[in-house]
Formats: sequence, C-alpha cells, structure tokens
Amino acid sequence: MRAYGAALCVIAAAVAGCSREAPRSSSVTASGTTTTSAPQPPGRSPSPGSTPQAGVRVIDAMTASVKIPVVRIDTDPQTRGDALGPLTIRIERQDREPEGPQSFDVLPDGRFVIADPLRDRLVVYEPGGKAQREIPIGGAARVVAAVGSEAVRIVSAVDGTAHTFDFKGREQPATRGAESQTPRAAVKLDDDRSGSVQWTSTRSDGRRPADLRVLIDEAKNRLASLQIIAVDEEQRPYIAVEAADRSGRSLESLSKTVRRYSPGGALEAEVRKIPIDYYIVPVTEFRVVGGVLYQLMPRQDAVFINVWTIK
Amino acid sequence: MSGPSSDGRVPVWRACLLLAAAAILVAATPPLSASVPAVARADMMAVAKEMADHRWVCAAANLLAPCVKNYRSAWHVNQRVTGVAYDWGGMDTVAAFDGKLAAGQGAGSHADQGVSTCTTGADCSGFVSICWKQTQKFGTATMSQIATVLTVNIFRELKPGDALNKPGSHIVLFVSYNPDGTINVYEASGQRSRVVLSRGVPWSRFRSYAPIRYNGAVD
Repeated sequence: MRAYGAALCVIAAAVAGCSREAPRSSSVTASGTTTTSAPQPPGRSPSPGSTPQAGVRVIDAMTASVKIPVVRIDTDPQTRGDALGPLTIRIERQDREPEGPQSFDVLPDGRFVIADPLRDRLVVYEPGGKAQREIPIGGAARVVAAVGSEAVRIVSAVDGTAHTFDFKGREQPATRGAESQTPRAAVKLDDDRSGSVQWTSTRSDGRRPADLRVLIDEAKNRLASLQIIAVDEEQRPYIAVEAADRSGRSLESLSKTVRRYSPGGALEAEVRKIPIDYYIVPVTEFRVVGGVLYQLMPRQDAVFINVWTIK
Repeated sequence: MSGPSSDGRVPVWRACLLLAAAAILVAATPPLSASVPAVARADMMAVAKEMADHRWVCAAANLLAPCVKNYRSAWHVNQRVTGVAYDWGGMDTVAAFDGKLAAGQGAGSHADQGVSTCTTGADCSGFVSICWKQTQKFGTATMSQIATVLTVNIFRELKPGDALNKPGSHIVLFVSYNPDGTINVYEASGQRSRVVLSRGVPWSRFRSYAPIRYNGAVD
C-alpha cells in the first residue's frame, strides 16, 4: 500500500509539473501592450526520440513573445475605429471561421507591420509592441511585405490584386526590388522520412545555396510537408518542416519545426516547440531578418509575434 | 404469451422471435449511402472550379442589402471579381447567383449580418453542399448525415471531392496533394469574401479538422 501510494504521489507530481506554465517576466507599456521575455506558451512537445545531431544548434525556447491586444469587431462596435494599437478580429461562429490578422513583416529596424484586414489598414509597431502608426489602405490585405523601410506591398484579400503603398497610405507604382529575394525551388517529399529542395533560380545577385536533403530521424513520425520560409543574405535557407504520427490517420500529433541550413546544405540549427494552436491561421506565418526567426501567432485574446534568435 | 420461465431465463422461442424481428428491421432500413445521390468526383470538381472561376462585376445595386441592418459590402462599384461571393447561410449555384445579382441583391454578406433574403452567394458548407449535388444545405455540424469520417492515411489517400471539416466552424473541399506535401483546397472563404482555390496549404491549418467523404461519392 505504501509503495502504491508513493507511486501515485510521483505520478501526480509529474502531472502537476507538466501542467504548470513557465513563469513570465513582463512589462506593460503605456499603450497597454505587453512584452514578455522567454515565455513558453502552450505548444507541442518535441517529437519523441529525436536526437540533435552533432554540431546542430537546437533552440527550444523563444527569445521573446511580443503581445498585441485585439478587439472583437462584432461585439465591441463602440471601439471600432477608435484605438490605434489593438488589432481587430471576428470570432468564430457556426459555419464561419474566425477572421483577422493573417500577415506581417519585419522592417529593417525591427519594427513590425501587421495587416488589420477588418479595418482596411496596416499597423506599424515598435519592436516592443507599442503601436506607432497606421497605414490606411482602403481594403483588406491578405499578405503584406515590406519594401525597404517606408513602403509596403500588399495582396488584396478580396480580389488578389497587388498594390504598393507608402506609410501615409498613398498608392505607389510597383517597383523592382519588391519581388521576393527567395530563389525558386522544386520542393518534394521523397518518402515518409525525407524530402529534397532543388533550387531552380537564383537571387537577383545571381547566388543561390546548395540543394538540400531534409531528413527526419524520429522513428514514430512521418514527414508531412516542407516549405521554404526564406534564404538570408548569407545564402542560408530556412525550411519549415511538418511531421505527424506515422499512421497518418490523425493531425493531432502534428508538429512544426524550422531548420536553417548552411549555404553548402548542412543543417546548422533547428527551432523546436513552435506553437501551431492558431485561432486565426496565418497566411504569412514566418519571417526571417538578420538571423532572427519571427512567427505571427493570432490567438483569440491577442496577436503574438514570437521571436527566436538563431544567428 | 407466457413470461419468463421460473428460473428467470427468456424462452428460446421468444429470443428467436426477437432476433428475427431485429433482422427484418435492419434489412428494411436502407444503408445511409443509398439515401444520397451518387456524384462523380469529376463532377464535384467541375462545380467547385466553376464557382471559384466565376467572373462577375459588382453593380451599384449589389452594394446594397436593404434587409440587412448595417450592411457593409466587401466590394466597390464596377469591381471585377473572380469567385462567387461569400454569403453566410447561402447556397446559391452560379446560375442562381447571377440571377440574384441581376435582380439587384447584395453580393454576399458576413455572419454578423445574419442570414438574409436579399443577398446572394454561398458560405463554406453551402458551397460543399452544392458540389455534392445536395438539394438542401447541410452545415458543418450536420455533414455527418451525408458523409463519413475517414480513417485513411490523410497524407496520401484523400481523393478529389473529399472534405476537411471542422464542425461548427469551417469546411473545405480537397483537390490535390503537392509534391512538397502541402495540399490544394477549394473553399468559400469569409476572409476572402468569395469562393477560392487555396494552393499550397500546410497541414497546420487543419489540425482541428476531420477528413470526411461524401457517402455518394463515385470515383
């Protein structure tokens, strides 16, 4: 009986430890936004049985998570059009998925620009999450991409057309250099455990990294998808890897990691524990600037910009 | 009729009678798939493509919906749009959509504007109901009446016309797999205000969804 009771105590303690959220340190700015340091929001555990390769840097914890408040457009009509900072969401209802911010970019100086489609605008935030200014664009943006430090290119949510605006909301003629610097590639899954990336074009400077072979080593998992996120100035590709239970019958075990490869094709770093419990699914989920990975995470209570420093 | 025997057991003849009655009842009940029309997958895809590719022009009258309080159109006058408009609660085919636009109805609406009788288009479940050739609209919560949850390998064995369903929220129609493992789906998107083909969608979008197959699907 004593051994049985002791075993129960051990199990209960283990469960209590797993459910306790990591403590956060935070500061609240005057605008009400909160920057938290090194938190670990609820997310998926790393795939069991995975062993980091020698020389590969494994990153399990975020560097920061910038929190931006939201308001509900359909239950807070008095706040619509008022506050600068909060982003706008439409909550999920019967046969209607939630709507709201789905795209963002990071400006060269670390500021964020986030699409606020329900208010036909973009909002620029300081790196700490304080709203700096809004850019009225007269329509809902599905995708936003920075063009330098004072212009943005958007893709309309309602008709798919592309437009360039300065930060005052004045439409600009489309300019060269606004195109993605990521070279095109043929990405494919070769089998349940591996895939390949073969570059089919170069950057505007004529360079491109070496072709890649992507492997997952977890015996219980299968490779679900590969997507190129970016190729940085040092020719290092960043690849989003989705993996799931080997049976393929459920998506509940789905996990997502981001891997960075050297220009020569060697795995350099892997970011794990990437949360994928979005309330609103992002269209532009990741950005990479200066060796730092950013993720847009729209939740029902706030929009987060999660940050991992890889460098 | 005599009751149970003195030791409490049911007589054999009575048990046989009950079993026979049950067998007759089961045989007389048609299987669910027999009560839904057979639809070829190619036809499902053709309808979906027609709705996603449909081109129309928003007239001034289509910006208005007098029966909807605080109606806010997603369009502007003379805007050229590709894709039948998203209309919460709607289940309009292309032909019905064009007819109602010509009659001056509003082009689409969102859920917070309620189900209206003066707007036209289709919502996510209405779109799938049309593709599956239904005569009535099934919602995401009632799709189980005409479709079955799959237990196949979803990374390989989905077929065109299958769906990914999140009851109470959203449903999309599966089209194809991409070489990189992502998928392509047709959907009536509230966020994009119309029926669209969404390409290269990662699986993380569908973590809370279940794969379902229309009971009358024909390969």
